[in-house]
Amino acid sequence: MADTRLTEALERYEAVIGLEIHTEITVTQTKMFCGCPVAFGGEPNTRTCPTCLGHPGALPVPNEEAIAWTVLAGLATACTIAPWSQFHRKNYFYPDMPANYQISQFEPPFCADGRLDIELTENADERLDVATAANCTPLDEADRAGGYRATIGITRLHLEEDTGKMNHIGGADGRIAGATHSLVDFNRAGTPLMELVTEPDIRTPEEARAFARKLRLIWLSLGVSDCNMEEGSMRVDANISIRPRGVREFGTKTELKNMNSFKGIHDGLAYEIIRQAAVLDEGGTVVQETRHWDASAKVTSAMRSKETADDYRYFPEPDTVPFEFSSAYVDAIAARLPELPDARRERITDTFGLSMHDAGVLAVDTEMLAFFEETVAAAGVEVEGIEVKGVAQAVINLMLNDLAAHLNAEDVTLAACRITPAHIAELVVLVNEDTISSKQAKEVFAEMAASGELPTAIVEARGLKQVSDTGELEAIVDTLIAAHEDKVAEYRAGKTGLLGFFVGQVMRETGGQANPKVVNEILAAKLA
Amino acid sequence: MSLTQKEVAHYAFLARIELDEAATAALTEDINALLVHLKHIGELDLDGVEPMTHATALVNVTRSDERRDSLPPNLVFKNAPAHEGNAFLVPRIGSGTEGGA
Repeated sequence: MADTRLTEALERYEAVIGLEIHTEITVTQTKMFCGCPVAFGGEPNTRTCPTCLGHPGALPVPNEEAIAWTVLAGLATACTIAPWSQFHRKNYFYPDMPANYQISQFEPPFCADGRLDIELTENADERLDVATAANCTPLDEADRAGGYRATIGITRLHLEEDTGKMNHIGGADGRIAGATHSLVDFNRAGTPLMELVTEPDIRTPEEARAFARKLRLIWLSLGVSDCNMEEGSMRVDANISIRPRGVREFGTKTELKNMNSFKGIHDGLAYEIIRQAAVLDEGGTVVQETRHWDASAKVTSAMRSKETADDYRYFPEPDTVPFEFSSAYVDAIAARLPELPDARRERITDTFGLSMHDAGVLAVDTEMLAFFEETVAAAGVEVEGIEVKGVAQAVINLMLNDLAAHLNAEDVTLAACRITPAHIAELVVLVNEDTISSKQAKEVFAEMAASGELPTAIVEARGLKQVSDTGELEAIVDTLIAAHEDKVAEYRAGKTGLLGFFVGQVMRETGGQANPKVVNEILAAKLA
Repeated sequence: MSLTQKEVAHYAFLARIELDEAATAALTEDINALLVHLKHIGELDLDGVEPMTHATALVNVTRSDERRDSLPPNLVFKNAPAHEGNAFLVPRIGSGTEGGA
């Protein structure tokens, strides 16, 4: 459920949100315009050269791989690739760019006019007009009740160079206010940086978070970046304004920065909507400014008055020449596109009959998916047969419940834990063939997680086998009926709740190893 | 097209060039004289002529993604007015600005 103050603000005002998402291309060996290595951290200024230090006379030469990765990223987000494009200089004075300009792109960017579909299941109630909004469709899958899908337009995706890192000394919390001087590290300067700008199609904080999450998954499936938000390799900024419901004109927007986690994206935007609503409610006007989200204080505060686009005096970068992308070039890059999360999820639902939710979990986790597919194969079922559904469901249940809980409790990764696809497959087969009950399966799971023994060996060693032998169980039931004539009479007189008593007695006699299904059948027949 | 003295002062500020009023006035006059030449170009029929951004016809000049040696530390700071340890040292940054591009 959405925060009540947010709901209350959103009932009167519609939020209009556009995102600017910067992602460092971390897959290349070298920087955008020079041969210095791309890496995180390290001793300051050890990965620098005359080009990324902005020395006059140094010649920046574009990294062909960084351009190809950007085109690939554009194709993955349904963008059109510009047949002709170029770099521009974006002029500004700040010590994080020693050349006093950043090499970026103005018009036309490498990629434009894309879109991304997002699915909202959490906090879907933040959006009040799902039924009427042109870009929304309700999700009708059984496991996604109340959710909806929204299409968000992508204005552009361009390539530029990242800036250096500033460290302000002498002020509080490393902030610039009160600092006596600053230290600059240019190791990051010149790292290839993709900037994606969305259309102002986003209406709720949750949609903004869902967009960033989805984009991150796509970038990860391409392998273009590690998308580490803490280390700043993926950074999300937002433009946000509100307008009274029913009004078409945009309100004055603020730019929100420093939302360096998915929670920060949601909470920062929610705070800003509530803040702007309060300003308008009091008859005030929203000031166009850049604001900084402080995750610990849970507030946004004004940061700087920004130079406008005109003030950046963009002009074509004279040190690099334009680009012409032939259709053959674009096609060759398109051939590198891997299976993207949405397509992968569909394939998993089609092949294994899993729910959209379960398939969604696997679709975004290559390691989990490989584990799952290996397990289903090891369980010995023909894929695309009828039986695969039951086995696949049993496998995913074990993975998402017992296995996930185990990994979490032990704080280990799937790769590092003792449980292999062979373990899960054996366990599923043992339950499926009624050799052990699902309750016994829990015991076996705990032991195999601890010892790494295979389930069959554990069952053997502990004598855990479930008793399904009807003759053996019938004999036990007969003895019980003879010993509890009074209870049998009560049962036959209508006190059917006593069935549980008899089941319990059989379980006690068999040391919990009786197959409950068979016991129930025998009891029902004999007590009738 | 011509520029006002106020516009020239604004561009001077953006370029961090310090100009007094007399210099601004003189430069405004000079720039406007140059703009007269551009006006002549504007009078030509340029429909269908693509704007030219570079003096060469080269396209797609790139380099392969191969590492080259970075500078050794003693050279990194050679032209820097000040550094502290392995970082460039810059004076206190004026109020009203925080963050770059």
